[in-house]
Amino acid sequence: MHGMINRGLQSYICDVHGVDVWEETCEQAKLPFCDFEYMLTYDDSTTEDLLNSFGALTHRKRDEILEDFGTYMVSDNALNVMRRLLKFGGSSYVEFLHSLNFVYDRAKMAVPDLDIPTMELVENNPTQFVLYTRFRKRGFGPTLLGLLRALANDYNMLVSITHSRRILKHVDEDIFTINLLRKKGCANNTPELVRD
Amino acid sequence: MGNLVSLPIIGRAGYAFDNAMLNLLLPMHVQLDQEGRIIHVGPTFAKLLAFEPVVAGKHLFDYIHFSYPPNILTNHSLVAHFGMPLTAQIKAQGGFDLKAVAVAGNAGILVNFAFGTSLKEAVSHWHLNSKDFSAADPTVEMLYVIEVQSVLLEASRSLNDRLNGQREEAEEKAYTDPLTGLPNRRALNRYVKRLHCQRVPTDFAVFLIDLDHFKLVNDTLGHAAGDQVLQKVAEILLNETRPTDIVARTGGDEFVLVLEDAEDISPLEAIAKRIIRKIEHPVLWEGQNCYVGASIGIVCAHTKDNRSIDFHLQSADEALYNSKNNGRGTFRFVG
Repeated sequence: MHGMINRGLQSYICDVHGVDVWEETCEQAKLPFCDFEYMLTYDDSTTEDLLNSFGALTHRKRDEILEDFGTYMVSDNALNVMRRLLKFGGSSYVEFLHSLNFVYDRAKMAVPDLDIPTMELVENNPTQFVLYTRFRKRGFGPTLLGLLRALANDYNMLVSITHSRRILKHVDEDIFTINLLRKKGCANNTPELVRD
Repeated sequence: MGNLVSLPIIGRAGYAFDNAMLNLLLPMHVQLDQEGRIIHVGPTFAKLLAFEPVVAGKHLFDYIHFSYPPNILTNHSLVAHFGMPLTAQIKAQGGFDLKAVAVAGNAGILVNFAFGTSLKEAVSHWHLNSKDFSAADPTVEMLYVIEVQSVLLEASRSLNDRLNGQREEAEEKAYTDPLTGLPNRRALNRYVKRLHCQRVPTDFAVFLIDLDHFKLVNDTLGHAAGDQVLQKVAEILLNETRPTDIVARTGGDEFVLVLEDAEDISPLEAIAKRIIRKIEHPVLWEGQNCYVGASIGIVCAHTKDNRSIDFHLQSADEALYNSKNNGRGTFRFVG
């Protein structure tokens, strides 16, 4: 897994649980170091070992951790770059969802060896979208779930998202069905979708 | 917004671009009439002027200052620069360089603006997003590259700092004798090379010091005792030299001193005597006295001779041999 992602995981554990927990996590995972480099690529097993030891330390399931990590990635003051770039996708949640179609290519252009899922958005109707993502690394769907929920919150949009996973031969396919309920702060139940 | 008059611009092929089309294609454009008064402002450019109550009919030059080429101060000179690359700033928001190009439209003048190198700052300053740019514009992609590049640059800088620290540490280790902390043979070579590179030529003296009876201490009291003796000798030699000199441990019980600016013999003799006297002073180790002595061979040299340290050490070794033959515990000069 790319150093940027491992480094993100490091920031998440350090920021949310403290440096002590991070160092303990590394030790339990039998890592010979505690700092990931942004520009190196690490074995996938390293990331898995980290997730396992962190899960054992905090008594949390892998999916739960990854979803929380996804939320953290786009929260304020954390990995600001991620948040800035994703929010640049549009001024409303719907615009943001549409911009996800381009994120893979843009990210690959900037960091060619970054591990990132391909994403395809299908609009069923103005209040229901389905996001299909495919990723060669297995079991990371919950990260995207956390991210999608956090950004909905950020755009003041009340949403319900259901997540299902299909294990294909070479990739994981994660399917997110996103229902827009209403814009927060609007008393009526009709969705107010700003499209400019 | 100054969207009062909607004059279609007719291209040569006969296509009509209305304002809605132009807003999509060129969201940062401004349309002027023949006198340079604002007729229409693209939606993104309108955001940049948000603090200014833009009124249609006002002059573009009230809001925009063209900084390059110089002296575009009137509509007339703008017309003279049609098609050329221009640099401009919004008067109320100094510091953001805009790129611009002006062309003639059938209805007047069309100026299209773009962010150049100020893109990242501009995006955060005006809270712009991808919808503020044409869908066929590579600005979003550029932002990805800019953002990632600044993260990586920072990471690379910190990595380089750390690697450099480790390199210096490794180098330090490679040039130091671990027992005494003195420079080793390699460090001595480097020191002498540097001495020869000095702009001002200098006299210098090389002391080759060999301990007497050291083997006896090692054999009778053990290596730990011997190590203690060596550390004590190192301390004595450091105390007898100046910070600009070098004291190196070049072998088991062999030390080398290089003293700069050594013109006269007599101070060298005094130093050699003091060193021998102090080394002869017994070192206490686990309740036992360790007795060693020192024999010294001294070479006086000049950087102009441009001889290697090995050459000097060979000569010094002959003088050292003389000292040993003269009953040890003494020093001899070469020649």
